[in-house]
Amino acid sequence: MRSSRTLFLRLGLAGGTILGVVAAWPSTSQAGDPFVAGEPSTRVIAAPTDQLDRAAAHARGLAAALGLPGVSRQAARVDDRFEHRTYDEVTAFDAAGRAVAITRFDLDGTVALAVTLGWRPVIAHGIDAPAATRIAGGLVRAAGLVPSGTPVARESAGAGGWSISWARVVAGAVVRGDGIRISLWPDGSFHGLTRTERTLAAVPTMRIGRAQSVATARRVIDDAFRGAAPSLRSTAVDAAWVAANDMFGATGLDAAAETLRLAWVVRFDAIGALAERLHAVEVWIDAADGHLLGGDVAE
Amino acid sequence: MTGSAATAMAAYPASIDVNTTAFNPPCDDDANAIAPKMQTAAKAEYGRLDYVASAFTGAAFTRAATLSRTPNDWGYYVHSHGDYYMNADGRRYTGFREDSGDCSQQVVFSKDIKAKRAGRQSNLVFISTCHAADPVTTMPDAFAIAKTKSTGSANQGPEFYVGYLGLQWDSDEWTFEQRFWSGTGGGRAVGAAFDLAMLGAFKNPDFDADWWGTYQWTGVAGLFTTCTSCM
Repeated sequence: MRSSRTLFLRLGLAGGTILGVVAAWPSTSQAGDPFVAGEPSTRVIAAPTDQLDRAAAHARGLAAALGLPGVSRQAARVDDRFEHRTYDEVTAFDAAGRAVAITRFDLDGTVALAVTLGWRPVIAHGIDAPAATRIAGGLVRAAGLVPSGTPVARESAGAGGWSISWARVVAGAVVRGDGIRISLWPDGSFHGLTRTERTLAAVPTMRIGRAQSVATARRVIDDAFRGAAPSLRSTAVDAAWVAANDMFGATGLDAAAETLRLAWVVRFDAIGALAERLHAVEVWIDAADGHLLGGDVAE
Repeated sequence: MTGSAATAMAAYPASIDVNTTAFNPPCDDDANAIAPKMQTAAKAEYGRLDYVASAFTGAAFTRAATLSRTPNDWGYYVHSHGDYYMNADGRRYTGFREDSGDCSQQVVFSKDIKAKRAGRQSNLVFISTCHAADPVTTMPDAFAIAKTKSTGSANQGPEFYVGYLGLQWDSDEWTFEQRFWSGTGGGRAVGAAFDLAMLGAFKNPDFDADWWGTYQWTGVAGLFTTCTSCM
């Protein structure tokens, strides 16, 4: 196991553009196998050299547009079973052979992710939210993406300064996790970009009502928490697209579902002694037929 | 020195503590199936990073057991309910709840861990709880990890602390963690793995995490910083 990881680390040291398939993991299963917790979720798969060349060239162009560092690049096609996604990943190296940036492209060439590796210290007088939003909009367009809707800027420790996001909205409901997000350093320079647009099920023609979804979710809570259920109070109900998960044993799978479904998301907040063990619970009810899609817990 | 003694000296234990009872019977009669997946993934990746990883839950994850193991741990992962708790000494400390297999769960304070570890070096520490990386967090210090970010060629030793800010949801934590483990398992530096993990598809737009340690370190257990670019 160690030798295969070392190979991944060493290839960047040779200098010059290096293209080709790199064995980051010993292959343990075939494409299309469901992800199993504890196993690696990504693996490099074979790809035609001309397609990897194209990805590397695309990465050079994106680097120029966003200001990503790197003097040499290495491309590989990656199958990600946890996220149900196959992409071309290009790692950029500096003159000393250090990895300094990573870009990922969906197989249609659309940018999926870009990040400048490393960290920058907090500065005394960084940009404000309006400036961050304006800069992020320019970077999104420079990456060849077309944002829609109103961006929201948030301060973010993990982003290194600012996180500016454009939510994806379909049929009037937010697609949870999908959209475009830009990370900026405090001085407004580029740190990261991610774009997610997962497959959605058809918009249901008939929907169960909000009240019915709350009643169904209440029954789920009553069954699940029994004596503690009265300490969970329904506080919000929203329509959203969600990826079914195994929170209540609904899927039996270790990764969230590939195709998202329109759901009523019913939130319950804990009170009293129960709040010492958890903060809140969500129950996701399929908006089409009222069946349980999964949920979430905040501990 | 015998061969077995040499092996024992070279071993780098890591404890994987996961609170499942709070979210499963008898406290919750249904099952939260996500927490066990996080436990499985963490144990596997610590193992791939050359730690001798052992997982504990239920009655095996108690405050007493955690504190008895921590002096020997080089790696530590915990998934539980966490907060900035008031201690009996009148001060607040970052902490998390034990599992203990029942519904009355004591807090493991950073103060407790710090006293047991007494400044001993740590490697990879992942506190998968709410508030573990809030600006006021006291948990990194318990593991003798300085709250500084060493990047580029800077090296503060083979140490890295990851935690979440504020209130977070399990599904987002699971997404973040699997992406992080995918990065470290794929040979990325721990800092790069963090950067990639932060770009996940989180349902909560306010999802946030933070880190301290040596960005370029590989995460591999040991006394020395293994990386391709640090000095």
